[in-house]
Amino acid sequence: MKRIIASIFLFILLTKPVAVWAVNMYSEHYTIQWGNMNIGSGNLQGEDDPYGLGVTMGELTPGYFSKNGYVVRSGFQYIHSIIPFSFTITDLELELGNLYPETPSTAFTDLKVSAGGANGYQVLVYQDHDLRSFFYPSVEDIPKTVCDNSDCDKDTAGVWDQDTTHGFGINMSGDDVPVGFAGDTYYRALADKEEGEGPVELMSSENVTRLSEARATFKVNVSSLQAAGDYENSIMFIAIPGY
Amino acid sequence: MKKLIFLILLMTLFSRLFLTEAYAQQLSLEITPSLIEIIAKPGKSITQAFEISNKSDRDLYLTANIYPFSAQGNEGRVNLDLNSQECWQMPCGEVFSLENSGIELNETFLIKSGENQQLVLRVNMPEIIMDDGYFTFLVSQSSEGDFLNTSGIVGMGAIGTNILATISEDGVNRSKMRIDEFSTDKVVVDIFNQLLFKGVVSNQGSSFGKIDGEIHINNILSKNKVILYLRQDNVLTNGRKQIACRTDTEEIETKDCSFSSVLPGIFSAKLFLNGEEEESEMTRFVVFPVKIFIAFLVGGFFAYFLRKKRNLNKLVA
Repeated sequence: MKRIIASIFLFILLTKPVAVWAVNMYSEHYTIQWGNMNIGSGNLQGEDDPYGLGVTMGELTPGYFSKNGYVVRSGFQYIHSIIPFSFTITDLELELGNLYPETPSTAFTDLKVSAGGANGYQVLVYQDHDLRSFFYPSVEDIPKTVCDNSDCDKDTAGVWDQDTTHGFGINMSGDDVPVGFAGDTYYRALADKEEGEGPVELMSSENVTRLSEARATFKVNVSSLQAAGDYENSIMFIAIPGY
Repeated sequence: MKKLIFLILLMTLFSRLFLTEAYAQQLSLEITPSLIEIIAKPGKSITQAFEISNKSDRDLYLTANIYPFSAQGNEGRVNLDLNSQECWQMPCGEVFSLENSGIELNETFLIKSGENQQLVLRVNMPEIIMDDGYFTFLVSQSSEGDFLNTSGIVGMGAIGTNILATISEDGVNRSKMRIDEFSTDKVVVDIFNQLLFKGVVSNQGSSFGKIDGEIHINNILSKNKVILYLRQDNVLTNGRKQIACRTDTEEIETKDCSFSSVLPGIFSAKLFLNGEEEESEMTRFVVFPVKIFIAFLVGGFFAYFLRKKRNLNKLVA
């Protein structure tokens, strides 16, 4: 009898189940099979350290796997390798100052994009209307530029260098800008929402980018016939990833 | 006095070393995920959570909205229709809504500086099977009535994420990829130089799908084979997409479909889609040591010329 009890006890000890860190979970819409329950995790950071340490313990199969064009980055810590889609406009209030006839005024803002998706991104732009006085419609808007040779519009850039050419336009320089902006004297008009025009591309790339930066420079030059006063409009910058 | 001047100079130097950029009224937004793909039965509802992060230096008033888009070009770009509020031939408000309490589509909500806001979008699939729907979920800064005291421009920003949706009873993908173009940028390429493969795939099916393909490169003389794997890009219904290839590194980067060889030879490159012989296109190119050949040619010419001149000199002598 004692031997039988001892054998049973020994058997139980030797065949103790190994912990399985997998859980099946259900909801109305999803079933998760072999979900991973961690035995420990957290972010560790010293008081004075600029760096932190992310820890996840007990994962089933962490690691990087690839074969035949497929890549799997398995593991919770890989979440830090994801490049989110982000968009920054450095200045939202762009002062053009007092406007004097045939004395161009400029203002600029910088655009920054990070895009981790495989198909890159676009930045589109439009204006709500032309630069407008508080006394509109009694006072005419400052029109869009057509550039020095009347060869630019919202889609095509042209040279705008002469002080006798009037209007309002945009120049782009930096990463991923259209090739039409061949230099800092090349300007385009802006797509106009009030006229029913759709937004037009300012920056684009078909590749992943950790940081693409470009500068948008706005220029206005009024004629001597333009009524005195303050003129204002809104410019909307839209950042969209590729599909 | 000397000590004071020295101290001022030192403080100026240190402050310049540790200067940080300062911007007037900036906007900085982040959104995840940047693309969602839906295949759902007619009449079913799907919910998807988006995380919006306000990384600006100020609180932002934002508005979320849905707009349809169409493909633009062959590079995955979007042609956004901001004038349309129609989704699947009905008002977008009947298809899309937000599950958040207190936040509706087309209504302003606040995200404080440094904070995140999760927006849960519900998609009500139409009751009948229709063509694919392609939409952009756009979160825009609302006009805050910033008035400048002089002439100026009020800048505003928006960030979006794309939604590709197929209505399907059985979940079967009905895309049909075809190779429209496949070629190389050169017919003769020097050894060690890169040769680029260019191709365009079109989708002639009734739902969006992913490119699944490989380029098999064979050296006719040596029977060596190299395989390039295409990046699995989405192609919309009746759309076209340029091919790109994947890397095998940990970085999520794409690369041109390129090839180089240290050995000369006559090569054939065949693009296969879905592993099928029926959907394939072939092109040929030659790898030749052009620079080395030219160097030998020029060297040989000079050697011949010098020898001839030496012989002439001997004769004269």
